[in-house]
Amino acid sequence: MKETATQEFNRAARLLPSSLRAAVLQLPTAVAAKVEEVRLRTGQKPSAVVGDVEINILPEYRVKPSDLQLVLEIATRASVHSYADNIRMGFVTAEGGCRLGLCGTAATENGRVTALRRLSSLCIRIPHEKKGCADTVFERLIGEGFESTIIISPPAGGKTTLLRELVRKLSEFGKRVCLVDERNEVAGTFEGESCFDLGDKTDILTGAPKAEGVFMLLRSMAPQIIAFDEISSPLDIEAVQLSANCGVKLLVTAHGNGIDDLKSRTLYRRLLDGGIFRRAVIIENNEGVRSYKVEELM
Amino acid sequence: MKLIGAVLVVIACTIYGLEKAAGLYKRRRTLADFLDALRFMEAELLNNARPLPEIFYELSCHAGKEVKGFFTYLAENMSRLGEESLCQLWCDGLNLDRQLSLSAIQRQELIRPAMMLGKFMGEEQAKVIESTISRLEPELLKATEEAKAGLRLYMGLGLTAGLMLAAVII
Repeated sequence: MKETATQEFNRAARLLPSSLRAAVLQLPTAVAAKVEEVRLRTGQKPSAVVGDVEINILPEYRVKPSDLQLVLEIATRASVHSYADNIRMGFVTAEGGCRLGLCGTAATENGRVTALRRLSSLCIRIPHEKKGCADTVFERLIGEGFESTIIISPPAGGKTTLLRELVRKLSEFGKRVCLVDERNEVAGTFEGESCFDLGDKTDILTGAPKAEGVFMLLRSMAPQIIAFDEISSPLDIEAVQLSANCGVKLLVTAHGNGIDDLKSRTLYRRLLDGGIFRRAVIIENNEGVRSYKVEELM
Repeated sequence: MKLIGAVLVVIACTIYGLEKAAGLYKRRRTLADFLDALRFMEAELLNNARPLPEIFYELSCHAGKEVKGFFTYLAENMSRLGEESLCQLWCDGLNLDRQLSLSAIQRQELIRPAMMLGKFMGEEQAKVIESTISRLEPELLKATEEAKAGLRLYMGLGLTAGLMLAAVII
């Protein structure tokens, strides 16, 4: 596991300019394996997020605007124009599924963000593939047949990692899973091939908005299970309802601290009260150790 | 024997003149090929779709003979991004390729879009390329005129020099 985590860290380090990369790769293996994000802010020291803590990784170095520009150039393979839609939304997904969060000066037209200029900070989120992390949860979820399930945790709580692993296990279990990977964060598809093992019966639709993607998959791929990451807008709720109405099971994630928290928000209340989801997996984080709790919703 | 020698000298001098004139035609062809390649890039960038490595790869296969080497260099070195920026790669490609027959001004004009390439949205990059094209078009006209005039001049000079040498030999 540790070796994979280090490889994932090294893959993310490849996005850094050579001057920074060499220094970052000097980090002790034990620390590198735990790094979840690398953050660069103009004029500040580069830092890494390990659990809830942000540590400075190069105390002598100050990030220059050209460093941020170069990271974006590497991540987009010098083709910012090919990622225009993503950049407007403030992120870019690079090779290996590393997601770059971007901050800078937004250029707008008719009240809409059209581009981001003069990057001021950047966050490289390192995706993790943790095979085996969902073993016990998976047994519970398929015990009496798989039912639509929602994975709940606060941001950076490990939802995407668990979703990725459950998709793989369901696929290997023989289910035809279709994944709508709007931000290419779950599969990390690069030139048509997923960087992560998602099982041999998984079809991946990358880049499509969830609602539209679900519709496309229902029409063309005859899925048994549709999976997607982060329900966050009314359009996503529509995607969920559309799938449920077609008799397809769902595996999705949402930000929250638990079912009560989710029910306290209008957007999700409608969804949970509709009885679409039969089970919820709540991710709990106790001092860096994650545990999963399965709750029956009906 | 002297006659044969004199004829050979005339032929050699004329060929030398023609070669010099061919150098001017090479510059004309280089500029024309670059303009074609830039127009292709402009059209691709306006669509906002294809990444530059793919555009460079396509140009390395299909661009005109004179600029193929430059785009092959770019296509092959895109994996070095991170060690060098695209701007550096583009400038290196222009400066290191001695086969490119370009004047200092023409090289400078071609370096200009490198500052923007890959860093901005397709439309913005296309505008810079369009401006480079509009600056290089008069250079192409000039190069065409120079090539035509040069052909007459160098061939005439070569032939004259050959005849003079032949006269001395005879």
